[in-house]
Amino acid sequence: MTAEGIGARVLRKEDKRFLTGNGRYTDDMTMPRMGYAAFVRSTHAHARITSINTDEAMKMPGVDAVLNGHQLVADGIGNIICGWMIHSKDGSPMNMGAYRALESEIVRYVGQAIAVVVADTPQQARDAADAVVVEYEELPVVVDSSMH
Amino acid sequence: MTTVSMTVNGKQISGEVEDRTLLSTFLRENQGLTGTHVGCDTSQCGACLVHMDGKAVKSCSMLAVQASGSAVTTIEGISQNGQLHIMQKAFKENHGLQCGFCTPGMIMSAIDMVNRLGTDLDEKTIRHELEGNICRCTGYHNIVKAIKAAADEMAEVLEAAE
Repeated sequence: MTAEGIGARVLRKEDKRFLTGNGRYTDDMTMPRMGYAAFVRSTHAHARITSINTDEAMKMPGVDAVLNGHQLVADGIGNIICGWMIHSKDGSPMNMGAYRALESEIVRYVGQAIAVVVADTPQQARDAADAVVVEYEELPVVVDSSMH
Repeated sequence: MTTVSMTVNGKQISGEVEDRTLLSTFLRENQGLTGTHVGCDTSQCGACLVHMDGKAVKSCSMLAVQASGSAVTTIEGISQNGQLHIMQKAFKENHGLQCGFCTPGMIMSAIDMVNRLGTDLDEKTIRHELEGNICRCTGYHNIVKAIKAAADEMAEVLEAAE
């Protein structure tokens, strides 16, 4: 193709670094005194959390903090907000669940974040996250769409 | 801790690692070769694909100790004397990348494809062979075009050499 200007093929200028493995993504960066996070996640589809025990995790090597939803609430940190509320025509606000960044009462899916560990290395963070003990009281789950 | 030694991109290296260290972690953190990406951690996305003793492997799904004694090639090791590999060039010319995150895995997978199946690749084969690599910019069309173009050019190079 020999077109110039509008309609011409243009090669990207930024490709070379990506093609040679020299792109720089967030996970490629290291900063002085950087910490690593690992999450403790729900093992149940629907359950009430009866206790979150972080004592062992706190004592593990390299651990800087183990945080859960109770601390978020105590620190006055709100829920995950909806970026675009669409109110009803009569002006009443959109119905929206109260999604916490870390759930401390009722988990509603396997993998929902319950606690986060920050440590000096990713491995230390993972080990400490595995040492957090969460106790649950299981609640009913939907496993068959035809029943509802 | 265990000592692992291997050849990475032609260079003999060794390092101390925890037994559980993944090959991808060893390459990225111990060797600073961050071109090998970890996209999913569950061996589905293929962004971590490298060559071990000439075979394509997902480096997030094997331990560094398993690779000890082998020869590993990563995306950083395929251009020679500052010249892009034919496959890299084809990705550039065919707009086979956007954000570039899957690109190292795509290129390593594509080179392995040509190594295994030869240069006579049709679109159906290329698409099937890319099963283990995920692109979330959804650039598959141009990735397939790039691999086809590179395979054709590699065939010409081979012919000229004969």
